[in-house]
Amino acid sequence: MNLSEEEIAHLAQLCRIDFSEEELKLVGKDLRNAVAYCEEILAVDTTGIEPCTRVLENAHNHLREDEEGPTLPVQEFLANAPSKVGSLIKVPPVLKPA
Amino acid sequence: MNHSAHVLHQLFISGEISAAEIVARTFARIKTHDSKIGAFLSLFEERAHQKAKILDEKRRNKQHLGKLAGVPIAVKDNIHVHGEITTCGSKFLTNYRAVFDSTVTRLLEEEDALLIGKTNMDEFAMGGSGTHSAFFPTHNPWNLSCYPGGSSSGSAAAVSARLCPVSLGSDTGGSVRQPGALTGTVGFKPTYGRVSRYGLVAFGSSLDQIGTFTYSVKDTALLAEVVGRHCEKDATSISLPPQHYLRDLERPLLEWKIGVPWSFLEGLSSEMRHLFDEALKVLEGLGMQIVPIDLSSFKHSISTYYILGSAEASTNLARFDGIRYGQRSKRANNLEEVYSLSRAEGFGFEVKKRIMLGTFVLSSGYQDAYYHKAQQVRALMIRQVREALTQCNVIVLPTTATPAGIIGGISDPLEEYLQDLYTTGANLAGLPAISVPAGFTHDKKPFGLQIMGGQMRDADVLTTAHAYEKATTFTQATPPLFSGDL
Repeated sequence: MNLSEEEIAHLAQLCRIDFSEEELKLVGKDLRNAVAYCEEILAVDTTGIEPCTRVLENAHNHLREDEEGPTLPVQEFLANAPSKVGSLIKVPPVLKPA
Repeated sequence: MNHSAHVLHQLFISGEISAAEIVARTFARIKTHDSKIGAFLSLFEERAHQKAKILDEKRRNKQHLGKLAGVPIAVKDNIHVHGEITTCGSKFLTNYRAVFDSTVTRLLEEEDALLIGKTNMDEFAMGGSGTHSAFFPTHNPWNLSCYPGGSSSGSAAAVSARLCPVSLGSDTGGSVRQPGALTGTVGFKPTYGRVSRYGLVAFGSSLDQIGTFTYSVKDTALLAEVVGRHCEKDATSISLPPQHYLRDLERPLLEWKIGVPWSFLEGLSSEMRHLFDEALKVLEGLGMQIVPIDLSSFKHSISTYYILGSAEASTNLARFDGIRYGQRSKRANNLEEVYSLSRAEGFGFEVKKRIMLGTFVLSSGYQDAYYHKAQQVRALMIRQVREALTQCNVIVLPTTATPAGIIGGISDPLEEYLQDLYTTGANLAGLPAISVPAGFTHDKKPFGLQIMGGQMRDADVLTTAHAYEKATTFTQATPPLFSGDL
């Protein structure tokens, strides 16, 4: 597997990270090396092995009752928001004005 | 002030030292020494003094005091303490103030511990050196030009330099045990799910576990008892009653079998191999019997770990979008740019790289080849280690293949990843594992012995480590620069 420049750029787009040209080159190089290293597992014989989706033996999901509980304090939560209007978080327009 | 948590707690209870004095001395020590190592990102002076006042008052009035009364504890900066900053070592969260308490820190405070501050770390817990913090690197107290290991670099360095007897870390691929080994401290990762992760900023959700640093296995056992309990706010929390690790510590180890995966250790240098052999001799001297075990599939640990860990990280870090909290780019003119510019500005290189790798192995067309294959190899590893654990009580191996290196001396990123070769297996299989100080290299760098057990057999791991600790003197060794009283 040899990732092309276009594929690396596409991945960056999927990651929602705006790399500088130079940084994208560096990350691309490291990424190719990491993928090349990890490819050693492609040769492992895993015939008939179910993929591991849970780590614990005898594990089961713990679901709580669907009951109303306390929520995070709104004002305290909003104190971390980069931009806000009243009790709402402000973002740039999502839809273009008609 | 180089007292263990047990001793310090006793001194406080017996009235030989007040909590106010403990706090004053702790911060004096931090201020004298931390500029050399860079262990702390923030200090809770006001909070600790307030708590100390309450504790001294309680003692005067002969009120009930918790198991950790008088014990100063540092917290890795990816664990929330309500009202305090949580940066995760990232510029993205420079000013983020936690809006709730993590379960672990709540449990510590309920037992009257003194939380003293937050510690430096590799950004979002990604890295094995402590040099990937967005703020400043942490230095190894045994050799200031070396890194302390990571990602829980500050927590390890703080305990190693005796700035506090206990600290919390998180271990996704070795991030407690590896810096534990490199700084000569006891680093313990409990069974996956034993300690609640509510309030720990998620990295790799099928791997993450909160652990501790101490300089005494007895302290480790005490801490594990306090934090190892079911929590309904963490869906992966094990719903079994807390265990009595301290009571079990003194069990005799006669007839216990220790499994050694010889073929997995083939790449060790002669010096590290020698240190490991010496540690094995000590365990044999305690009546334990060595049996060879097969962990040949563990040679795939690093590939498997980096595929699965990065996949989970890329998903978990999607929440850092610049909308609700953290970094938001001033250059962003539309929603798309809020995401892509905020993430570009807020994340460091290592974090970006792992998000890229994780996104790649999950992307359409490659998911089967990489992600699903790694899940199968993980299943294979779990099967093999379970089989091995039917032949022995615990498994021992070195914590790391190499001692601490020079800061800035790692040129190939893969070299840093390979430092996790011996630690990632326990995360992939959900096993409890501890690194206990077990000697020094010729140039006085600490060596760590790793002891691993079956799921929910944390007590066996702690008992073995405690017996080893009692038979040697390595846990008591203090870095010369930090051995003074102040």
